[in-house]
Amino acid sequence: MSAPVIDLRAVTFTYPGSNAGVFDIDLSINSSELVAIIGPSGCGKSTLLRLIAGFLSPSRGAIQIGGEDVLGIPPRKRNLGIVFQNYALFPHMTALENAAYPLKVRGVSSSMRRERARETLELVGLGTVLDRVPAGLSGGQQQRVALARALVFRPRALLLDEPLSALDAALRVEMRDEIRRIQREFNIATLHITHDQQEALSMADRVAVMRQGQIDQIAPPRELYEHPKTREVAAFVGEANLWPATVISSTEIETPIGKIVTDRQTLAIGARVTAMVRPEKIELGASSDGSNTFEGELRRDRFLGSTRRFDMAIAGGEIMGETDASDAIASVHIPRQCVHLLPGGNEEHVENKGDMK
Amino acid sequence: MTATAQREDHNGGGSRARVQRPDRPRLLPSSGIKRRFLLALAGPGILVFAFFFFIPITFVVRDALTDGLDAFRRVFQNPIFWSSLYGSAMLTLFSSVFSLLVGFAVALHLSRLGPRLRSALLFMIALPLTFSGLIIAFGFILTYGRAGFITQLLAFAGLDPVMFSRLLYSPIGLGFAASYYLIPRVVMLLLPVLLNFEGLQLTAAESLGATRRQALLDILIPQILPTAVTALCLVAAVVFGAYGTALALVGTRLNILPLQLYSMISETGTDFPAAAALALVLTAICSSIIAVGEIFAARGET
Repeated sequence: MSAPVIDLRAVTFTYPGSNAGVFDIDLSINSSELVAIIGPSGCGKSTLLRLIAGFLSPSRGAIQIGGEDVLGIPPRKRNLGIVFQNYALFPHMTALENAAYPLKVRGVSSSMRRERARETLELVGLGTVLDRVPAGLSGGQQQRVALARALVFRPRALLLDEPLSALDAALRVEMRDEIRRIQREFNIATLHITHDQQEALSMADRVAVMRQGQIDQIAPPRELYEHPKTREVAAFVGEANLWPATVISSTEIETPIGKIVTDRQTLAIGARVTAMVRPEKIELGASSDGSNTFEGELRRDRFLGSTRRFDMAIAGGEIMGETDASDAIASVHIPRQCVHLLPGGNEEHVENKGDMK
Repeated sequence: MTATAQREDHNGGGSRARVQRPDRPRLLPSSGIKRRFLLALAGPGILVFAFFFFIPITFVVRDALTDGLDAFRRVFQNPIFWSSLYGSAMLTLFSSVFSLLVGFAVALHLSRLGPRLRSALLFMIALPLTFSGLIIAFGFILTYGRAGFITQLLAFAGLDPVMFSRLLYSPIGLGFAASYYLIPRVVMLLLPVLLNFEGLQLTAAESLGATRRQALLDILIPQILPTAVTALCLVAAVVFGAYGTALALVGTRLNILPLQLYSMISETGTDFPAAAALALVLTAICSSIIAVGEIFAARGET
């Protein structure tokens, strides 16, 4: 496997006069890979981008781009394409001039840079509005100009700082696919910062979840969703039922909602864990052997278009489930293979705290 | 071009012309009463314009044309006019460019400060605008004149106070004194533009490979240029027509147009038609400078 394009080793940075920053970050992004960083506001994801871009300098650790140690190298010499949250387009320049600017500062001749900027704008789907200034472009078009400007000089990697957050919901969904298409077309290593977990899960090859300046877990989207390593990752990524639990046998745990049968596991008897069950894994009605079956009263019932999400109040707590059925719900059961045990379990019941958009 | 992009093209910038603006809320019902009321509101402005611009300028024009265009001929044939025009041009060029540079630096600094400190400093910077030219001249004489405070301090350091104070009473000194009340005007005009400028653009430019200097020249300067030219023209027009400070500092020894005009209409003056012609020339020059500024201001708004 080739060396990573972006490689961070034990990178630490603390903002002066505060405890905020990023701590001991290890992160590699391979050629043509798209890695998304998600996490709550203030978790350090934008700080990470600014460190890679060179706007901040780490107090400790190493950052390599294309195999080159870039500490001390200013942003303009790092050869990275950056798309900012609000695009930071130059309002006095046309779309073509914006896209051509990186070539201008590199001394490319006027005719050559116009040609290359035009080609890049066409690649991002903006072949017809070359002579408009940003104020005359829609949000999506502005974003394409920003993308073209970040790609026109063939950077070593692309950094996207919440590029979709300024768009309305419908356009945001469409632009996810567009960015992914463009990223694949340019075959460029990409770091995508976002607070929208759906965006991250749907676009990225790997997703890193950050919390309090550290990466909790980095994994492919499906693995992250189905096998979160910690309770916090489970709570942040998607919706989840999370119950504090105690292991009482190799196939049973005790939770506030009662005893739950699990697949065979090797945890010590008495170990404190968190039981996680995704709502779509909850099944209606009783199980065939009667295990993990809960009866209760429907407390909330939400129509979400393609699915229906409900909260059922049962003795000791609630179960959140999802179903396509429109029937009345009196009981549910949890398939034992869908119960995942995560380390730690002495905290309160946690539902999803992520930003599901 | 993808379907998404095409749709955005149709729905985005291209649709701007089709956007219907909501009706403006009406302040008054549409009627004859409204028209009369609006005329009444415009009345004071019309009166001021009539009594303090239109009527005086009409009399000046009448005086200037008393003997046809002879008064203009006498003005243009007078060598003092050309040396005064040159003096005024040099004074205007120096003091307005100097004020623009200093004003830009001050405005740039203010734009980076917090709102409270900025407001406090802005209040102090705006103070010179409340002083008349005579007061400013008097202040400069007390500070930099032969017995002035700074001059005396410099004399302790071995500087010849006569030589130093002579500077104040020269065109250079007059230029500095004028800059004292021109700089605040520049700051007032440039500060809003700098406050509205999105600093992230410079960061973006640098991330794209630009040096700091390139980023400033390519990104910041073009965006503030229309306002900077407007400010330059405004202060140029002000200093070109100002005579109070000049009169107090250098008397009528300096050849500039306002002081030539002053000489012509003071008690020693005898050729009032020529004075009126010179007044019209001075007005035309100042108006032309302002017009250039307005053109740039309009360009900046598009």
